[in-house]
Amino acid sequence: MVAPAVDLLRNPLGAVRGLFSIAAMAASPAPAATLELSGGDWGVKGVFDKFLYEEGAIAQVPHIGDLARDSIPSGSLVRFRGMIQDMFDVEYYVGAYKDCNTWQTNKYTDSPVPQDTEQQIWDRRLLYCVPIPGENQWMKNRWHSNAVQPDATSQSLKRKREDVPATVESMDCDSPTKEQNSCLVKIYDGNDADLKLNDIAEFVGIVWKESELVSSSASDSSALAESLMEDDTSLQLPSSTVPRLHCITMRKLSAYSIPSQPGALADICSVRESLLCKLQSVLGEDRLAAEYLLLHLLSKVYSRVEPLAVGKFSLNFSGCQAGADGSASLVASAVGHAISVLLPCSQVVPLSLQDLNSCLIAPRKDYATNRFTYRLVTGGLQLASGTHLTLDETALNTGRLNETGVKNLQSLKSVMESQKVDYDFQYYQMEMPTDLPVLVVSCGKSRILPADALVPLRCSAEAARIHAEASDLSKWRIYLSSAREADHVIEPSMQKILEEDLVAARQKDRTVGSETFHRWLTMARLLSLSYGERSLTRERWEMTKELEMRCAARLRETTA
Amino acid sequence: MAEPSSPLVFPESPGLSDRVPATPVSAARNGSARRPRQSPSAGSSGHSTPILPGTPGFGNRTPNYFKFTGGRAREAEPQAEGVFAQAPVEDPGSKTYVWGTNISIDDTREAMHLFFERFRESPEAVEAKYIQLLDQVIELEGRSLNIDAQNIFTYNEELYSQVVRYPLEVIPLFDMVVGDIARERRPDWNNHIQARIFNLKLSTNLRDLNPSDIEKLVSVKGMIIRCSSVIPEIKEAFFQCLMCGHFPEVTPVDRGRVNEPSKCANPACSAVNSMTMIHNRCTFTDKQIVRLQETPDAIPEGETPHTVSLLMHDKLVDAAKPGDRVEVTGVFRAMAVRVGPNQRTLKSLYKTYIDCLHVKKADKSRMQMHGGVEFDNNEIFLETDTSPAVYEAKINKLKELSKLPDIYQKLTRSLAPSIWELEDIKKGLLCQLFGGSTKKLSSGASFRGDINVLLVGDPGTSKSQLLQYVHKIAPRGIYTSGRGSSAVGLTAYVTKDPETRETVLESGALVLSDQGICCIDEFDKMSENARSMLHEVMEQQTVSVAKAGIIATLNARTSVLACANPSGSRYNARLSVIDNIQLPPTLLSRFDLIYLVLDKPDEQTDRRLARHLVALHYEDPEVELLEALDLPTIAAYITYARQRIHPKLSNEAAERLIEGYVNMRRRGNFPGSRKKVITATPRQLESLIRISEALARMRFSETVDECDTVEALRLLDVALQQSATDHSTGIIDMDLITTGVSASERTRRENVVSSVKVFIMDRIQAGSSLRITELFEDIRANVNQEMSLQDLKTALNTLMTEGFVSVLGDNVARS
Repeated sequence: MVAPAVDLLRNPLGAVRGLFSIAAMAASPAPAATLELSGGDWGVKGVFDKFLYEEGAIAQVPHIGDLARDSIPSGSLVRFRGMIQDMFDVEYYVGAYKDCNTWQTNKYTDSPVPQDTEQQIWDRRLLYCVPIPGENQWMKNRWHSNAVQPDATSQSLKRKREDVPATVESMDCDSPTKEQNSCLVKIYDGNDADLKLNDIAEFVGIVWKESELVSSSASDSSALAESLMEDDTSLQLPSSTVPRLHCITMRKLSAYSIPSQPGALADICSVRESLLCKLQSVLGEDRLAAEYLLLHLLSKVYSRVEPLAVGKFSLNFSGCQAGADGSASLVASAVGHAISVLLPCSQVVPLSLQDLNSCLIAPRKDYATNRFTYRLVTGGLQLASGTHLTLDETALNTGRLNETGVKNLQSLKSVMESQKVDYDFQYYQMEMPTDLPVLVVSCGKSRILPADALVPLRCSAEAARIHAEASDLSKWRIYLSSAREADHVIEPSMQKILEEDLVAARQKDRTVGSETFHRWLTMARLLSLSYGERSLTRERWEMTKELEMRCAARLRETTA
Repeated sequence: MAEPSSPLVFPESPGLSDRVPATPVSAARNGSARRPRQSPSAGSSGHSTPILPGTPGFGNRTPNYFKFTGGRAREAEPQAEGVFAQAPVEDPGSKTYVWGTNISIDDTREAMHLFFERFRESPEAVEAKYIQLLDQVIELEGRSLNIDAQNIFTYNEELYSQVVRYPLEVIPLFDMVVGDIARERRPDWNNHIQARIFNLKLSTNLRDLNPSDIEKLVSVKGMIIRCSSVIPEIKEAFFQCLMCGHFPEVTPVDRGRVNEPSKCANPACSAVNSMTMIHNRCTFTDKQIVRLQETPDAIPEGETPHTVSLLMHDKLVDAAKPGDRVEVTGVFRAMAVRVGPNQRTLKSLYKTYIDCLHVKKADKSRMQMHGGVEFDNNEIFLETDTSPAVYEAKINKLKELSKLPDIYQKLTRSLAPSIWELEDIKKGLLCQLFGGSTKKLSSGASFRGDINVLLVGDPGTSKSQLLQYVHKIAPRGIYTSGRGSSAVGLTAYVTKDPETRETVLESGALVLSDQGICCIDEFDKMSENARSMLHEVMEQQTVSVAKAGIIATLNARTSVLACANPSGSRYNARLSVIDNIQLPPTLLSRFDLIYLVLDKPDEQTDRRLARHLVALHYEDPEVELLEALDLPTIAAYITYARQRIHPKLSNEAAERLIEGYVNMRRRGNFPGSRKKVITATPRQLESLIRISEALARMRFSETVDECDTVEALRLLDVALQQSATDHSTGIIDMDLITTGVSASERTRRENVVSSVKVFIMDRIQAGSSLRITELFEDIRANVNQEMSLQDLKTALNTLMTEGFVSVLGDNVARS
């Protein structure tokens, strides 16, 4: 394939059309052959992939979110990184039409076509993407520092913003502001095959601004056309606020991964120790709680054996005081802030009665309201896998839960118990597996939200906000992300020892049940991962048991 | 340009308009262009009233035919419908073709005629199937004739493929042929009959529709989520001159436009622009736009459901309501969207919709089982199945599975794989899922086939997880918690409809899980009142309601799976099951299998638990998956078995059952016993039959073989041993379940009574009295038999009924 000498960055459409005409020419004028054109992409993806990833031009492609909406010319190459929030119906469009006996393609555009021409109808998928919910500022900066674009002022602005405390977001519903930064991605040729709801991906493609559709042509439109149009979701998202991105190529990203990691960490143990110290100070000098928190931050669901989600490790810190006059609890905000600077995506959610009762946090389809017809109304729980949730139960005071509140609590419970969110499609529910590590901060043991592990907090000092050097922070982030992604095995010999220990523990104490065993095994795994080890050793197993013993002792003291 | 409309409604077909049998309309005016669109600017006639200017091009309401004469193609002149029939007569050398194909109109019509006249479902049938159906339609003054596409396929594959590939042209031909035949059968018939084709060989998945399906006949399944209000669509316009009152014949709507006469046709008047439309003399049809969404089982994991618009006409309007699961057959069409009014440029987008021909409502339940429901062979047991071929393949796969020698073990392993051990309980639950078969005697008596299971056990023994798992794979069912359920919530209740103020019957959990499994957690915490409602359900399988003017008996053919905690929250091994669960024996005896899930301190089981958990965490879960069947497969397997397999007892099996039952009864009959222990009752025999039937179903076997009965006996034995063992003797004792008192306990009580009687004879003179407590002290001191105050009171009660003593307050007197 000869790459046409066109500026891919500024005139991507020219390149596409060039490639098409080469292919169309080769396909000879036989009508059957033109049909075949719809299947292939005439080497477009290959050319762009090479240009973007091999030649590194991706850095020069502007990000849609960075730019003012009006400054992007229609038809230029842009990229968008976001979470897939909804998937719309397939769109049928005129893929190619015959203009003066030569086939022209209309792929990757929304441009109108002349009427009396021979046409071919092709299809494309529509994905509604939003900026990653709960993404922390440092993560955004890291991605966008690669971009050439942002001028000095916006850069400094962002730097300032890094010091802004953790975003305390209430579980609000689809607010109009969110629409501002979203993007409608049109995907061609089944490139979306492995994309799922709530996945994070970076799309590169051609931005297209329609000459605003004259949908107000009431004089002409028939009742049928009108009602069909009414159903058209994309119409409800005017392209002035939601740009259309005709995706040429894309890559799937993970919520854990941090871009461009500069090599492996030299000394994992020392990094671990320094991070632990920091967490300890955040938790008011409680070492044990810090250990648990570290394990908690490393947890992720790594396998599902229905109905269990193996690997989840939700944590409950009890003994936290509610903040003065209704503000967030001190611990919750300190921990929330610490997590926000350590993990790519996180959210702090104060569980106030008012918030719980006001709107549903599980996503749902709402067929009744006209504006969002057939669109998924997002909820606070529609998050990318790996997003950390800190629930501040101290914000909850006595009162009455209404139906919404009860449903919300059930949703939270189902996330904590099985890492699943029920999406409400009105006529049926659909379970969507997620992976959201949940930390509950509460006064007493949380009865409403059953966590895997309960640690009563013993603060000997005031919970402090995290303050650290940028280099340290970056080390910790890389440490957490790499440990989170690592694999872990257990040797058969070690398995024997585990079995023996578990049996012995059960013989000693009948209350030790399968839940406890699950917790121990998860902790042992996380503990060895935290030391950068890929298989469980005796030493780490003993440490796990030691941690559990200290925690159990503390529990007994608290109840006594 | 044309209005997108039902392919069924063709102005040129005879009798489409109810009153005008053969309106001469241009049939093939734009035969020249199928794809290339004509300009929508219809400047031809003076005033055109744009009623429904839709898409140019695709929505051609007129079929395009070409006429071929002597090898030279020429465009068909605008002709009346009659042309198709008459053409060969006029000009024997010419043939009319469907545009762009080599399908000859005449040949196709001939094929259709033959199909209608010749097709019989079975060779023996006297009358052709569709002629019969048509006669019925004529009799009932119907307007549509349903044609099974499978029948067309078996009769004439070519015709089938023509219908599917060129529905816009071929279906109107069907209409005409049906009309012709109708007129043959009843000459005065002049109504239009629509041919509604359904049951295509291939049903497309909603998300697999693609551009190549446009203008093809497709069939999709889904759930209706919204219906628009009914849109009246003008069919014939009536004009009248304002000046002289003259009115010409009604003007039919020509592809979405009404050609308004610009001049009065009355030669005497001839006024220009004087014609006005009289609305109430126009004819309208109903139209509705319906939104169809994929059913949950067709959606791949991690995606949102797709939707498609449906266009319904006439009779199909309001045929289905939101929430209905339907299978729709229709023509997939696309409609271009213009950028602006009167502009020649189009938006590059197309709106797609399905023009419905036929709507078939699928039963909302995922499966139907025995009971009065007849099975249609075409009924597909799972909605995900797309075509008979796929369906066949799936069934073959299930059948292959059933041939595995270890299918029983495999199924057991696959049931709740995350719950370790409890093999026998899982087997019991499997039996419940498969179920026995309901028997109806000619006398009207019926025996339930549903197997009820009760799990009693210590907290934290994953009972609830088992329940939830069963709930998940059960074809239908409700999961409730005993604490939150009231009697009416379980059965049925009567409410006032807020809108109509009528009393309506609302089904409760048990009725809703008719032909499924009702899982009740925390059975012991249920109110007494609610539990008593279960008696009827569990044996008679009905719920009777008599209140507020409604007297009804609802079917509740439900298997009940209940789980309960022992009364003292932990199982007390020294007490009987009855004492432990505190459930009335009447209810308890209705459970076929009662399992005790006990947390016994046993190193062996602990070790297995530990190994299981370690494996869960560290071994490749893939390996486990290979061994176990995945959830959809089990669900399909069970559904299929319940629907299709109705095993009968073989003679050997029956004999084995009798033998086993007799053995069970004899077990209480060991030497030395006084033949008072009842180890089995007829209820157990019934349970045995049900369980063996369920076991045969697991193997897809039509007969219950000996191996099934052996296993059934074993299962019942295991369940009985756990629940009905008399702890003081170690013998299975059905009395425990049926009366709550074991035989040995009863003997003991008899002994107490006789010794008390003897004692009282000694101590109390006739007429005198003694305080109970004194009596108790006395007996304790003198009789060397262990006795509690309660025992004494029971004994006194017995004596009182005998008339031997009388008890007044605290005093005992001899009478």
